[in-house]
Amino acid sequence: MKVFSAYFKVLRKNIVGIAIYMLVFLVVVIFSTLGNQSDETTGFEETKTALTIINEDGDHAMTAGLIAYLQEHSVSAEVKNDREMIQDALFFRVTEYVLRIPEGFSENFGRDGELSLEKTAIGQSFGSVYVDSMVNRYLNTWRVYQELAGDMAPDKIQEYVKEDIEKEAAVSLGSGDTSENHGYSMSYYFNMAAYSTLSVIIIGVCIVMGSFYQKDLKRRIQCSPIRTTKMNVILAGANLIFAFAVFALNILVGFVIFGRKIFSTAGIFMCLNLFIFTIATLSISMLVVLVVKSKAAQNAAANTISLGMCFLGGAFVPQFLLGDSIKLLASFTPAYWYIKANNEIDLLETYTLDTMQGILTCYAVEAGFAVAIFSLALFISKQRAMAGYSSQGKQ
Amino acid sequence: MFKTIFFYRSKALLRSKETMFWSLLFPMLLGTLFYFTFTNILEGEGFETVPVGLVDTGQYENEEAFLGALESVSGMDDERTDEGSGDILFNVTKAENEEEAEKLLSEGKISGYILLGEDIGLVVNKSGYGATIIKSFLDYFKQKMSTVENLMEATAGKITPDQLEEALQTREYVKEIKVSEESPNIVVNYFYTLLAMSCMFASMAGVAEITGIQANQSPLAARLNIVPAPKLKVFLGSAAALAVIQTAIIALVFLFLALVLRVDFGKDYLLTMLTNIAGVITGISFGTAVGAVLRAGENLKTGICSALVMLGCYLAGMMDVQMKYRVQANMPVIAKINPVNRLTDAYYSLYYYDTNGRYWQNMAALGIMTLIFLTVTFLVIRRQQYESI
Repeated sequence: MKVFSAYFKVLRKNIVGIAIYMLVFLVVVIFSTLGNQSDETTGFEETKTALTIINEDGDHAMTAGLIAYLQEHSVSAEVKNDREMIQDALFFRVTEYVLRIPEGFSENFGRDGELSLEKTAIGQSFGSVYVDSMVNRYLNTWRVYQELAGDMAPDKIQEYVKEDIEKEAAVSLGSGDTSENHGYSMSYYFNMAAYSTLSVIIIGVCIVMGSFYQKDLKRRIQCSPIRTTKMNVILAGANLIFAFAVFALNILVGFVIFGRKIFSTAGIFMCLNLFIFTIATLSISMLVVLVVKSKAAQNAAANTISLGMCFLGGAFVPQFLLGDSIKLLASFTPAYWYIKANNEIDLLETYTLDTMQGILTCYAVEAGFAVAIFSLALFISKQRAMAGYSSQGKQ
Repeated sequence: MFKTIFFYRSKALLRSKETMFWSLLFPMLLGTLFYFTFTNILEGEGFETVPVGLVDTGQYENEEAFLGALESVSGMDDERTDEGSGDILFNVTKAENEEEAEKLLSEGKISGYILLGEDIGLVVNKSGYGATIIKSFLDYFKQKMSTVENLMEATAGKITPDQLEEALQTREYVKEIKVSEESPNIVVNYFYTLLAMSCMFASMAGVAEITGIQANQSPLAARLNIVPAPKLKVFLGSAAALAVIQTAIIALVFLFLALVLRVDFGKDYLLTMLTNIAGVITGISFGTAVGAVLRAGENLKTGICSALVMLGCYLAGMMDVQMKYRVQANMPVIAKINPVNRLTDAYYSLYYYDTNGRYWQNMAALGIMTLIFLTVTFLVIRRQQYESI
């Protein structure tokens, strides 16, 4: 009991720091989740490109019609007409396509000295090709009328062009995957939670356990009438409580964001997944505190591990975007399996033992990591203790 | 006295091998990881040919015209082209009936299939670029048909087929203007935040510097407090040693990123190096300010520094690259006072802009921040005295 209460005494002393740490990482997770809310739609929806239009041509019927048409089939991205802002917006993919309609464009349209529209886009992407085709289609249709229909008035042409370009092919859904989406953002939240869990638990455990591994204190503890094994078990138990508190906080934040949805079947499975991952993280922390000794280095190690695993495992960058060799490398970290399980839960429609196989495998691998890493930590701890005794004996 | 302290502090720092190892290894490890993670990602952005199925029931009135149009933008059946060349939009696979097409669709071999019944229809499983492109093509065909009908009606059929064919040739109305000399590669921002983070992590060593001269924190600090020199001198000596060593570490990290991982830092390596130095100094002074202001153990101070730096990294786009722009557009004040963002932006300016105006703005801002942090540090430690320890 003495060990147990000593643990929490140290924890209490450092609680402000750990709380600040937790708060910062929760802010990161919450910000990201809220910024990534996606509409849960089924069925066909046109994929829209983020488009910025800079009109210097005024309101000719043709230009106005073109803008209205483009806006209907894209997402307008407002960007200030300033070279730097446009460069930045393109760089960060806030807009994918900037279209400038130069002055006098409609006046010279179809005559000698015809002007071109100016586009600035990010390479030859899908979105950019799509907008090109919309612009060309609209203007070509307009030109056909202008050339062939003699002296038709612009307003009349606009009417015809509008009628033409509004023609659409009927789209129907195949019988396959039309499942209801459980909410991309919930799996996103849980994926991001890997980051806060890793950072906070590793740092927290390092701070508290670090005290027990101080040289003098350790020697004092070693000559107290308590067996090393017993003490290790008690410390592991105390760590488990700390880890559980972090887990509970993550779930609480999830509850605040998603409400009752977190207790849906998918939500429960994700919570369970996070729980197993939390245990695996705890094992990692125990190993880190043994292997890395200096405080600054522990901080660096915590950051390397949490950022590294989250990037590799696909918490920040979706897993399907990662290359095969990276995935292979990532499969040696528990974070990969944790995120894989979340993504699979998200896609699942019915929960039977059969459909759950992949998810259960992920659970098992995570748990396997937890056990393996914990055993390694115990082994190192034992080795250290033996080496410590023998070196003390020599002195 | 400055020299003595500088010398011994450098020696002490060089001997803390574990700390050196991690502050060098950490960014290199993460950099390598970024490198492998991101080489794949931009490839997804290129334009690819869309695989599409075709079920022709023979009932459609404009069947011939439609198949002609489809053929002109496709590699039919076997002529599969994987590279998106300008003209080829689709790889068409003909299916005997709907069941067969449905099977191809559910296996993910096609993005959707075109059903030529009495009218043109499209069957897809999910939205996406593939489906959008197919639909757009079908729409275009229907629109052209409608244009022909309307024209015939408006001109009372006076147009000859030749005239019509000539007018219906598509022309390009869009000309591309390049955004900057560099083809913008968004991935570099991840590496810039990483380098900025490494600079700012010097703040943790900065915390240790302050602890190292506060007499109630360690016997060494107590000894330092009785040297016959002003505290400012002692502090500056030891902080300068730290700055030199940290700059060397960052220089190694930078060279690793630029030469081994081939991250593009623009052309001016000298200015990039100047940014690194500014970053290290800002980092250290940030750490000393936190260390001086907060009354807490070193652990806690280091933890707070690390958390604040990570928050700064997040807002500068380390975990989600668009965050940098979003913060800049919606909360410009935060972007302005975030040193990680300023550093990232300085690297980014060197890479992306043709002129250096924005770069110097960032450097000036970092200078001002450093000045503020140092002033705070001096004001706090200046008159600290220890009656008893």
